Amino acid sequence: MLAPHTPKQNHLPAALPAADYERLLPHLELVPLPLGWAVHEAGGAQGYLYFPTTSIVSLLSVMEDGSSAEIAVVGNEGVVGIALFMGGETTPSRAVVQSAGDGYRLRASVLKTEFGQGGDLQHLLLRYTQALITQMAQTAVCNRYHSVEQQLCRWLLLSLDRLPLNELTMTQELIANMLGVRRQGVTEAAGKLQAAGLIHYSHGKITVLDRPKLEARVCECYAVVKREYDRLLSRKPAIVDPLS
Amino acid sequence: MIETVLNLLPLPSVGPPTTQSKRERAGQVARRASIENSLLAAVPRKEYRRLLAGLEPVTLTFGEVLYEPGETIRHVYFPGASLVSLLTLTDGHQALEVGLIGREGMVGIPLVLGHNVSSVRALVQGTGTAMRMTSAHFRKEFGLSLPLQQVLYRYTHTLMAQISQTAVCNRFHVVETRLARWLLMTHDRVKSD
Repeated sequence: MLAPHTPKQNHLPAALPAADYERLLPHLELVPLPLGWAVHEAGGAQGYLYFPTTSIVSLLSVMEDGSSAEIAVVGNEGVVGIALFMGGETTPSRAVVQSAGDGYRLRASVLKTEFGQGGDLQHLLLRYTQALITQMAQTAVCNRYHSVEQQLCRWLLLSLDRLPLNELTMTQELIANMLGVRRQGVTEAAGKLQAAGLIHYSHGKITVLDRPKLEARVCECYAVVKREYDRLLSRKPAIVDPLS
Repeated sequence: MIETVLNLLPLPSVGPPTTQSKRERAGQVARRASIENSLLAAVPRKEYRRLLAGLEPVTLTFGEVLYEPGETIRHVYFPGASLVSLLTLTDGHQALEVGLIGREGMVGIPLVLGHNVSSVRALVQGTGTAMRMTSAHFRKEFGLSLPLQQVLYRYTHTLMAQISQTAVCNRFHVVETRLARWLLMTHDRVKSD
């Protein structure tokens, strides 16, 4: 039997003190996040903040000609819709479900009230934002300097860290769109990783077989991002933030 | 948005030259320099006056490093005529500019987000004026001032848009158009040729 869903499958609600969590709980609504669904469009207004639990959402920067590249992945460690509390009414990026699953959503008005009170939820969301900035900056560097194979390793590891399972449902075409590279480049890179016994890829499912080897092959970008998330979002905020 | 707020706000007046104490003159210099920065100018006048007590006018010099990745941030900077690059390092080498900050912004965004360590190198690209404030003072003022929080959260969000645009620009655009983007951004931020 499957364990029942709880918002605590996302690390941010899980890190809240009991009183804050209980107050939010009635407002957290379980929603399915189907593959390819746009959580928000570039320039669109957002009505909810999303806490993915078993899904992954890609933040994509979209060019005028329609081409796009992923600038960050969000899963059970984060939220989608930071424009709601950062005060921009709209966001320049597009958010698309990249791995289907579930999540919880919180109405914008409730979020704004909670955030305005300056408690633990505000602190957590701001620290998450800092970690997200690091991920975006590192993605920019990775896009510029690293091979498609290294980028694919980074993308697999970042995605799997954000999911409860060791398996991703994904087509090579989608991966190519995420990374903003040609599909053939992804096919070649995935073929090499499979031949080396690091991953198994079939029928749109990618399973990681040898994670240590995958970590050995990835560019430093993965470790930079992971370190920053661990530092900022470990469950001991008092140590993470000496200022508060 | 910030520009709109800026236009609506009365600027702190600078009186006619009279005999002044050294302290008053320093105060005037501070006022003139600080309103060069759009974020400070967007804070209501009363709060701005309180901020002024903790702001110190400085000159940032080309090549000066304000922060290194992993280091504790000691001051935040509000550039006036100066220009600061945020650089991500790869294998310890300067790799890529992910943000460019001039009079429209602030250097030291991690403090806005509640912690005091920089994840990037902040390097002065254009010599010029700036106002700086110690991290401790900034955190105190930031906690007290809702308008300052709103202005800086919003600015942080625009900086994130800049970072993501950099990511996608690096992916798709050739050096020539990237250079053009950089020149335009620089020009917007220093308002000079």
